[in-house]
Amino acid sequence: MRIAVYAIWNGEAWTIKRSLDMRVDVLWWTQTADLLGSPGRVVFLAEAMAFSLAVKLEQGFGEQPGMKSWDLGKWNRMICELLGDEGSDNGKRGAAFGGHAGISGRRAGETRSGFTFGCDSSQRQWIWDIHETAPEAVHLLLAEQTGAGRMDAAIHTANTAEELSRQAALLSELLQGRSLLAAEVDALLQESAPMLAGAWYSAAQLASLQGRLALHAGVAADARPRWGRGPLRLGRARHPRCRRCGSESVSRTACAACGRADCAYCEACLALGRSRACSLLLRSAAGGPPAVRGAAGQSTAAVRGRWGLSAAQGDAACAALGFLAEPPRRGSAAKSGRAWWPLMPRRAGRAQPGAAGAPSGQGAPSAVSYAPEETAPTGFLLWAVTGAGKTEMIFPLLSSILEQGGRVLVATPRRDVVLELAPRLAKAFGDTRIVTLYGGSTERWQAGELTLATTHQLMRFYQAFDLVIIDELDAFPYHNDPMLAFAAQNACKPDGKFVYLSATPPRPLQKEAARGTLIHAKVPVRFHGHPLPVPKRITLKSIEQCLRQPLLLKSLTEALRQSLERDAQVFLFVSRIRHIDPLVTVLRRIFSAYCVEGTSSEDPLRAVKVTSFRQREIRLLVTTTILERGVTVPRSDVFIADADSGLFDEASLVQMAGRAGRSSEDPAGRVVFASPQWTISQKRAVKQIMSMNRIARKNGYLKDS
Amino acid sequence: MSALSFAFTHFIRNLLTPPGDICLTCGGKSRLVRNWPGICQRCADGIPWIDKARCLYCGRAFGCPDCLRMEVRDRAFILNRSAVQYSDVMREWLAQYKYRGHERYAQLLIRMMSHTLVQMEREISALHSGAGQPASKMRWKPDMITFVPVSTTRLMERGFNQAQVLAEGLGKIHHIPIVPLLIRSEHTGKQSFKTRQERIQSMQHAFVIDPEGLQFINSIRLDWSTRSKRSLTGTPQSMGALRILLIDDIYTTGSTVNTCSGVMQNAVQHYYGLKTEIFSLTWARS
Repeated sequence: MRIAVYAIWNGEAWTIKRSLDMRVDVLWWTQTADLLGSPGRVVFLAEAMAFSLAVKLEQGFGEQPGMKSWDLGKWNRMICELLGDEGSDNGKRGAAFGGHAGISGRRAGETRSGFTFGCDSSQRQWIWDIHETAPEAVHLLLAEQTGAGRMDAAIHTANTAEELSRQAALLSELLQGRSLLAAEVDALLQESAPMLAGAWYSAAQLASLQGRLALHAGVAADARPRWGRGPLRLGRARHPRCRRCGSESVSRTACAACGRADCAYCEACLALGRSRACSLLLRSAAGGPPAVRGAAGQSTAAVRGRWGLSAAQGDAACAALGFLAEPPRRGSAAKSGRAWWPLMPRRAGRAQPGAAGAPSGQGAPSAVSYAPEETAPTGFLLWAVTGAGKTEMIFPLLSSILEQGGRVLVATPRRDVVLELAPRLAKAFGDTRIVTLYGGSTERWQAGELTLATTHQLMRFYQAFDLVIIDELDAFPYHNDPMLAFAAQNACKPDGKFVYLSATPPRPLQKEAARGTLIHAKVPVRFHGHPLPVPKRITLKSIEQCLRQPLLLKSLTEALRQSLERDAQVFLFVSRIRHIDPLVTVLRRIFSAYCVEGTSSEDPLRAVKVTSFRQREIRLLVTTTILERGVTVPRSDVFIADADSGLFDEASLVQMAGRAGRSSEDPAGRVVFASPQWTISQKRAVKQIMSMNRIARKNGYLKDS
Repeated sequence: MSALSFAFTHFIRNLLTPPGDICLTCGGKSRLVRNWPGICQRCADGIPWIDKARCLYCGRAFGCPDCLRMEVRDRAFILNRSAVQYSDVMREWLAQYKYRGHERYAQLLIRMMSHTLVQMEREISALHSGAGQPASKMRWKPDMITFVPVSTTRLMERGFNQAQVLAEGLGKIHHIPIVPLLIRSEHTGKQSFKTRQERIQSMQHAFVIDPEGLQFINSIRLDWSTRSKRSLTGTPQSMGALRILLIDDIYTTGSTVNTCSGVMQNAVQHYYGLKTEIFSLTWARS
């Protein structure tokens, strides 16, 4: 998009401001004229400048002596210098009609008058001392025909001004704790305030002047001064970053909306709507007092009794409650040597809600500010073995924040978990408004105290939650994805808290927990109080080889037969999808009495097969790591072929082993690792399982069997 | 110790593994193919090309009931060719490009269409040479490329016009001038939400001629009349007929292409008295 740009003397310094509706700015500054210095000057620089250029101008702007007496020519020269090639770039593209390319420039630009910022003064620019009568240009501006998202009525009449401030209040309330692109704002308004939809620019501009709303560019270069950059990194290209997901945006294309030939866009978060250098990103921190922290006083027994938790669960939940009750710590998690997770984003400045209604000399807070000593959310790891009943344990945490009027987010990687968890939460917290978010959810724009979302939905929030619970930290979308870490960090209030749930935390976190630098609690035992089945090892040639010579499978089939004969459901995990079909054929021949099936991510009938496996129609299911999590089948045994494969790391081995013995009727399932060699991942997986059992025994959580 | 050695071997292995890139369309990491930008071998093999059009008229890969209807007799364009069948995978590609705005797809689609344009040139040249002239003189090539426009609202919303980007890419590769001949006069809403009949009706008044583009046609006309080069190469029938290639992303019922062709044909005839032959090339044929 394109945006109006002006400079203003606020009594102390010059600042560059951008405006979605210049009329609102004129009114705002005339109303607050006495706060500006005596020759209060407004220099209207451009009517419609590409948004990305306006941002660049604002970031690069530095005050120069004598600016107060500058004429428009000098201002224009300054802009040309600051914007360099980019400012005049637009002008060049208009030519070359009939050439091989080159029509696009004309097309893209002509839709609005005054399209280039070119360094000429043919545009409507003006300088106005606020304390004197307005020049004719200002009157023209106020009487201008509107459209393009702005408020329709003549804005300077008393009635409309009042209406406008009502709209601004409504808008900033609706957007509280959100981080939304313009198109998303439209969708939100369509649902919750239809009269504002399509005409909210004026209200947004007023809210931003009041400091209730920040108007960012979707993609922008880092404004942070780059000290501390070592000599080795000097040559590294500086790509702009997506303000919503934190990824670098390398792609640049011609853009009709702003008229630039190299408008950057973010490829990483396209699925949530395109964020680009000229798209508007509206952000507003949720504000409000932090949830009072006073829940520490509860005794373990009370917590256990209220939520029906086992001893191990209760102890861990109380440890987590103690963590929630701590005051927020200064300094970020990144400084504790844990820079990789949660990846500390380079924070853009945030709107200060406190500034509302008090138009200081600064007006809106400057778009980018860095506070090095700011508080950052701290994290707590709840390390609970597979089948420990993690969901029950988060209930006391949720209720402790909700009871104090705080907002909570539960983020899980998978959509089916969201759908499964929602009714359970609704039952436990009857009088709380629960919003479930996932791709295609109908509650997308609603606000509630308790939000249940898939991880990508986090990007639509900005400093909204007092507590963010992240389920299955090590699972697919999170693991090694700085984008989601960035989003999670942004969604949490600066004085909020994180609780990570995991059965198999990634190695660096395990080490930190062992070292004591990470606050954590372990739940070493399953809800039924029986120890975890420890994997046994059998030697088996690789599946590749076995398929060529089925006789080699003998040691595996013997073990499988034992399991089938003891009437267990058998999971057989393989590393490659292409092995499934041949293996199923071979096994069907060997176990003709049992139903053998195979499934993978490419199987359209996956859901059906899993259901019939649960109902014991299928007895042996050959599958890949897609079923390593979240599947609970009573009375099951687990076999892992090619356990030495690089695709099975420690976490996935532990997870797969965790499919066995989950029900209290058959707590001692069998787990078998079949592989030609014994790898470090297998060793570590076994070690992890055994150490959990040991801790459980030591703490007396185990039932005597 | 073993952890350390593992880390070390891991590092060495990383150095030694052959370079791979992320495939644009499937997201997997593998070697990318050379002739189609940004995609892996597996995705390239899965492209449902229309190598030989079954319906010579609309370029469909299988028999086409639409082209047997009575009303199609007065279609304003000569024929349509498309690069691929609009399968689910192709639908996803186009959605990624057009609706999600993943503009790195543009180069891929352009290269695919360029491949089809070469095929099209060969096919049409062969048709002409059947009349007895030597093939070298009969090389068919469009005089200009134009594209189906989108409305201003849509252009602002999306940031680009996919047909225009494709046309410009093709023009650059084949050295054919691109001329915007049309303007979308009203916002007809998304075609993809309409039935066949609704599409045809809403199209009637959607396009008007772009005066600036017409000027370019005028300059071509003057060029011809001074050099009269055309008479050397063209058949008597097509002498003076202007060959326009119309580009769009997808051909569904043909109503868009047909309406655009009609508008262009009438305007060129009306203003300059020139005959036009309009060919259409789209990326996909549904």
